[in-house]
Amino acid sequence: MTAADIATRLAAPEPEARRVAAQEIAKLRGKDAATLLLRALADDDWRVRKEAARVAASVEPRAIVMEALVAALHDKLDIGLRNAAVEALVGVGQDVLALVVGELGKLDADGRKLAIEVLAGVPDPRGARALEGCLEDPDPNVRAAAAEALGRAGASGDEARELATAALVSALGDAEVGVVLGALEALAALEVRVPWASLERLARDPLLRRHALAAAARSREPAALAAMVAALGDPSATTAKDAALLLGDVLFEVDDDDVFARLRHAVPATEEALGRVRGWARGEDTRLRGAALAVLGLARSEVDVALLVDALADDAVAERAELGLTLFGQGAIAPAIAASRIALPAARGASISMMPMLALGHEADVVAQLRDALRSPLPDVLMGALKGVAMAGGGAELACVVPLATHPEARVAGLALSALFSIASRQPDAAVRLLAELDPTGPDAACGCVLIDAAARGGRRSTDADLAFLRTSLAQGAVLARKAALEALATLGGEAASEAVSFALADEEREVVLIAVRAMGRLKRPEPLERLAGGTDDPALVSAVLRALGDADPERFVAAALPLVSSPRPEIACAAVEAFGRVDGRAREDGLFAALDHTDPEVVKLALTEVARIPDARALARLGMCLDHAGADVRKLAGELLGNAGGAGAQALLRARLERERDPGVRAALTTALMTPPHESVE
Amino acid sequence: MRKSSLFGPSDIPLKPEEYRLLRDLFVAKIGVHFGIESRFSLERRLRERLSVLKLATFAEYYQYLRFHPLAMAEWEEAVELLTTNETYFFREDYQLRSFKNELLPLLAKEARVRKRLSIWSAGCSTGEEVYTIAILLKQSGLFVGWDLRVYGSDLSKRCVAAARKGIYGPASFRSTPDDVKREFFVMKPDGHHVADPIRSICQFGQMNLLDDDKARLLGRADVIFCRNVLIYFEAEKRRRTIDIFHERLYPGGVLLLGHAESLLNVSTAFELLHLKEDLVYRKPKAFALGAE
Repeated sequence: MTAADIATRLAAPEPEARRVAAQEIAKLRGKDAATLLLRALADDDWRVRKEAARVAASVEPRAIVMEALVAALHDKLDIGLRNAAVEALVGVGQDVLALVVGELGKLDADGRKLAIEVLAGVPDPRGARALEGCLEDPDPNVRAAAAEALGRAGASGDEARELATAALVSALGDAEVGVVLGALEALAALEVRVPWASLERLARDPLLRRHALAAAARSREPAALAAMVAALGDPSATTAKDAALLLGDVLFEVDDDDVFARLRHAVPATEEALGRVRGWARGEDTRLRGAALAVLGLARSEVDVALLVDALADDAVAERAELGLTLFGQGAIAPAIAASRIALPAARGASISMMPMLALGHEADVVAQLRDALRSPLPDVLMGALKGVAMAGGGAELACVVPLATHPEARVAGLALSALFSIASRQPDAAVRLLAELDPTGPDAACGCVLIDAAARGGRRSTDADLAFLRTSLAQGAVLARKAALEALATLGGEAASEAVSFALADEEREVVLIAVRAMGRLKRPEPLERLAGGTDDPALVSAVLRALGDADPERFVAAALPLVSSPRPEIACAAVEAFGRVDGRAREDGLFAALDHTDPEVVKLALTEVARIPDARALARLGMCLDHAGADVRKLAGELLGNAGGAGAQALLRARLERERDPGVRAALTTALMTPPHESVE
Repeated sequence: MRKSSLFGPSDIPLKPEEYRLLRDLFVAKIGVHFGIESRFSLERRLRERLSVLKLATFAEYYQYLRFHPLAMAEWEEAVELLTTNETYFFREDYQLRSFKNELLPLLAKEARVRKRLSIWSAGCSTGEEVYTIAILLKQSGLFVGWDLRVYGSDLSKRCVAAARKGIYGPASFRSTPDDVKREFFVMKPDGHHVADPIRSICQFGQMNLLDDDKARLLGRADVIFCRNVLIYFEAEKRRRTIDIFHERLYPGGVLLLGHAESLLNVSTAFELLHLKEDLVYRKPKAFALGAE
């Protein structure tokens, strides 16, 4: 299509025809291309403008295009053109920086704000320095825009981040509220912990209070946390709610007794504030409700325990209610027992399961309640009791648990076996006494196997009778018993156990076979596993076999798994990739790097994800190579993973690719990756 | 002539070329051979699967078995429909008498050092043969204190699950002596349960006899029973199965086939052992059984 053709089509009445014509501009060469691009960027229809902005990076000659785009920032009348020009300039990337920075002094305030948008969208330390300068702009709107834009400085490297942080903290002293708000938001985006000393004054300003408190929540300083608690009684209900939400998040994210102690010391702020929190704890807003429940736990008022117990039955806030009870501690036990008697079964079960945690150090005190709950007809209560007994039960509780292992509700039965295992691990002698009463061919066979397993893991020497019990259960038991027998046989070890487990690889039930495979790995018996690895087209079995082979014999694992990485069946190759991801050392790299050459992008993506976990420079280089992969999905993921990896090397690879990348989706991913906050890098 | 387009799933015909495709697939995968006369039998047995899977032709069913992501599960279903599971306790009693009266004393003598006996019932269906063998071992009184293992394997998952349960109805007892029934079974409302001392020496697994990797899971066997199974196999698969049996037997170990089966034209690796009431095949001894 010639320039004239495109010009004609850009004048067509149909927006779609003009949009298609805009696409064609990228194929032109010469001055006409820039003129047509500007015309398309000024189109009335946003889809045409969007298309023109998208192709701008590919239009040549670039120098003329960039000049034309920068000139468009001066336009005072056509807002659509100016905005499209910003988008196009961002799409062009680093090459425009010098021009845009140079133009800052010539543009009016609106134009400078647009230029700041461009600088924010193109990650580069030069842009960050220019934005720092804009914080001194005489126009407060420009300063506010610059402050906000500096929130994206993380994409420009560590130096730019440091520069931005210092400039933004300094901007907190700006006389204009808008600038300070922009700076606070930018500091939040950079995940900077601002010292409370810099925030205290701002927290007194009604306009800035909410934002300053949000920053305070990140600082975790005692005075900042106390200010948040105090804000629960703020005259502004909005500020008080925000404070509750922030406190809820701090309580949920922090696992630090000192922080809890500080907060507990500060609560209750006032009875009025607590009344407000109780209201939220009964409200409709789930997030606020959860936060309020956690805060009530901190306040430790017995009247709130029923509220916390009831909330345990609501999945939306159960976790927060549990946190609240945990924060409340031992004092919650008696009121919780009282409250649970009239609570819904799920709440009753959940509160019972928490008793040992609440009674930490005095678990025996709650065993009577747990035993009582084990007689409940309600599955929810039984499950709670079993979780509690698993933590606090003694040898005497084993016999109470055994009948529940055959409960028709599978979750109850599963928890009963877990509880037996936990108790028997602590009380091996009691486990052995109970074992004598169990029949390896009967319904309690699984319990017997679990008791043998737990006692053996607890250090008890196994006997011939144990082995006979397990072999009989394995041969004749139900699926659950066979699985339990296999686990126990793997724990016992030895020739006879290996032989029994080996034949279970031919079990008619797949779930039993998978456990047998794992058991062979634990028994360090690689031979049958090696044969299975190459002889099945079941991806789940391949995965289990390779994992077990890795446990049994790492060398044989490599020999068996390496060919599977190149399997034409992607699901088999993925199973092998996952298996390599779990081993250590050079073998892992060999397997995963080989998978990066697979023809299926899904295999490559999985391998990439595993490679990203390897903390060395070779892995980083392979991630970097995948930035040039033919598949846009793969390049995008490589970019994201490099962003997570962090460090100067990763940033350099990302920036280099960003300069070449043309796919808008991948460009966006690379830009986001460049903005990822720094953490421990692999370099 | 039937027109498939006019018929519902219950009338879908198995065309000759589709029959050939399926027949060859079954031989390759599970070894079971269907002669030319079996076309309509195959059609009748598999038709319900087309209905369940909502397939319009047997050609589509062939493709499903070969390429569908759920093909593995469908093979289980096909096997259930294609295999014959008819059996009962103490079947072909003349052979069992020879086993009990002649072979077991021989094995007791030859394996006396290791005091361990391993017997494999290949193609055990619902388990009657396995438990019969276990009863004969107990009745012989020759193996007190020995480590006895009777392994049962079958291609059918449902058969193996039934065998593992060890609960049987009247049809399984058509030739079981009453005293045996009283001594080795426990009558319960849901049927006769195999007694625990017998069950405790029996183990079951799902196995394709053509899969030598699976066969190795058993370890070595002193005796292999494979009665009335190989008659359904195509010649080449029969040879391969016999090779696997040969490899799995101890030197001097014995293979028992059905009364209508022989290794003529199949294998020369075995030697004939003449018993009073039966002929069995023995893997030549490289050295004495008990010496290993």
